[in-house]
Order: sequence, then structure tokens, then C-alpha cells
Amino acid sequence: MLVALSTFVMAAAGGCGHQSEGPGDSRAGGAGASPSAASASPGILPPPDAIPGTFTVRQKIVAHSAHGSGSFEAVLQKEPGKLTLLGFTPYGARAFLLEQSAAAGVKLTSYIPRQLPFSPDFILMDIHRVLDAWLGPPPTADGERGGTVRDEVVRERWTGGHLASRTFAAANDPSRVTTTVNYQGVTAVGLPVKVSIANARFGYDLTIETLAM
Amino acid sequence: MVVAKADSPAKNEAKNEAMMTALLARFAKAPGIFARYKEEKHIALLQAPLVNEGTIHFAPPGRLARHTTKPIASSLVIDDKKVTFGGAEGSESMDLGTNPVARAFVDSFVMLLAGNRAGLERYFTIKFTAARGPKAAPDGWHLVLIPRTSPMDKVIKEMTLDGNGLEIREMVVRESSGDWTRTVFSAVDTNHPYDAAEQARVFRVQK
Repeated sequence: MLVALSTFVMAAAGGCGHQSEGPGDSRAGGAGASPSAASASPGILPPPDAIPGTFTVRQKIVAHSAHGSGSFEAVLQKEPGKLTLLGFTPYGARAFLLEQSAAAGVKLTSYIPRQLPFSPDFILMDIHRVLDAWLGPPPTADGERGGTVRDEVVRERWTGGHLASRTFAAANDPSRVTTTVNYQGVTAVGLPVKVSIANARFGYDLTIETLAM
Repeated sequence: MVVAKADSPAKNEAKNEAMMTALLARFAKAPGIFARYKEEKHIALLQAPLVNEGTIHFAPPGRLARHTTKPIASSLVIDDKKVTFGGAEGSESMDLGTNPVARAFVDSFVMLLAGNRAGLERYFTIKFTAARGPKAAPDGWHLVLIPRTSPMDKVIKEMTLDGNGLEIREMVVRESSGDWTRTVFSAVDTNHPYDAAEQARVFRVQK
């Protein structure tokens, strides 16, 4: 999903500044969208507070898929009851603002004259897959653990007291992993320094690096 | 007690006009400019500012490069009508003519450094004041640029620059959204000629 998002952000280079707001779903089938993604659903989004803590972090996202590749900078902010992702153009201007709040749901604001080619719920789901405490608090010992959450089987590997990897598979086909997340390092706010996400369902890879503000 | 007699508004205006004309003429003769910068971008909905550091290079009449070194390396290079941006993952170019806001923003900075008053006046209402008061630097100045053309006037509320002679010390850009960016310049060299080898090295995306 973020591959198409990077295309969306890079499109800002050729557009003029404006602002439009839309409801949570703004599928338009634009460049970089997976045909299957346009009609798919990411499932039920966990609430913002499924992500523990509060933080504001700056991130660089690099995305690759068969449709292309790209990168952009964003800020991810978690406050009680609210998750915010603010994406930037290559000039550092606002490209889009994606907000999920317990009170108002999902809201996407675009500052560039393009429609996001898929539901923004997919982006939020990727963030939740990486940062939610899917299987509860950290285990007391390193090793592997797993469990079923809603309709997915979640498996985790912990080393050195930190989450090293996490996989997701459909509960009715647990041998086929749909999403793999790998974690490297830990920042001062407890978030991973670097995350890689491989989404086999939609065929994209992401690398997310957390930077100093 | 001696009370200094204040200049009349008309006299002050004449002084400001003369100083601005002289300053732009000096900019027009500068062989090139180098500076380090630290930028703080304050976004209304974020709880902490974004901080970037790097270097700025200008070679007249219109080559400008901004290389960000922290927190992550990236480059923005403007060469007449084309802007190229990128970093370690690669680079992309665009025709500035396709983005009027970017064009106006880039032009304003380039036109100031090139001493192009007519160009500045095309895009902005200009308010220039000489620094005054006992602690004011002798060549100190304050410049306010207020966009007068659409769509830039919808995005940017005003740009203010402070300097001393050719040395631009600080720039603040206030956006209509409430976001604002403060850039502080240091190690400013306003007499920096870029020879062909240095131009080839500096005015390209750094990988």
C-alpha cells in the first residue's frame, strides 16, 4: 500500500498546493495500486490505543513492489485515542494527513491534487500490524509465541527482550504467511529503529526507518 | 540628558529604500554564496518540531543547492527551470513550471540572492527596514515578503528574512495553515566563487 502512497506523494512534485478532505475510503485505482487491493479490505482496524504509549517520531519509508518503488518522509504521532500520520513532499511541504481517532474514525486530508488509490485503512493496518501489542504484554523470556487474534494467526519471535519478528496468516490457512514484519534496534521512545514489512498478499516490501525529530 | 531626535517617517523610508537598493546591488555582484543551515519546522498538529541541518550553495544567476545532512541525507538542486531532488535511493527531476507554488518559492530565494528586485516585486509586496537602535548592527536589515500572486498567496502567508550586509542570518516562513519554519544560517560566505569543478560536485544530488 505504501508503494502506491509513495507514488502519490511523489506526484506532489508535479502539482500545486491545495487541500481536500474525504471520508476514510478514497479508492480511485491510480498509479501503483494493486488491482486486488482496490476491492479488498484490510479487515477491522484496531482502535488507536491498541498501540501502546504516546510518541511523535519522524520516519523515512522506502517501498518496493512490482509496480515500482519510491520513498518519502512522514511523522507518526500517537496520542491517547488518536493516531496521526503526516506525509511530506520532497520539498518538505505537507502531502497528506491521515488520522484515526476513537471518536471520529478515519480521516484523510490530501494537500496534493491526487486521490489516494486505495483505502487509507490499509496504511493504518500496516502501522497497527507493526506496533500493536497483538499478543499482549512482552513475554518474560525470549523465544517464540503465537495466538489467534480475530481471524488471523499471529506469531512472534523475541530476542534480547525485544520483538525481533512477527508474522500474520489467515486463521483458515495458517501455513501461508501473508505479512512478515522484522524489527531492528530500539529507539529512546521504545519504537524499533528499523522495520521491514513484506506483504505477500499484495506483493510489496517496506523499510521504515525512525529518524531523530 | 541628551535626547536623540528621531528621523521622520519619510526620511526613514528614504533610508530603507537606499539601503535595500544598495544591498540588492551587492547581492547581484556576489560571486557565490555558501552557508550552513539549521531548520526547525513547526507543524501545528505535531508536538515537536522537525529539525534539518545541512548546507546551502548559490551560484549566480540561478543555481541553488540545498544538501540536508541531518537527520538523513537528501538533496534539492535548482538549476534555472528544473528542480532535482533525491538521495541514496535515487533522484527525480521536475519542471518547476508545473508547480507554481514551488516555482514562486524557489524564485523568491534565488531572486533575492541574485539581487533581482523586479523579480521579487513581481511575486511579493516588499517591506524592508534597516536595523535601528543602539544594539543594531550597522548593516543590519529586516525584510518581509508577502506573496501577492495566486496560488502562492493561498499557501504562504509571509516570509521574513534578517541579515547583516550580504549575510542572511535567519529566514522565517509562515504558512496559511499555521505551520511555520525558522531557518538559521551560519558560516555564511558571501564571497564564494564556484569554479567548474566545484559546480559539478555541488550542484547535483549527493548519493
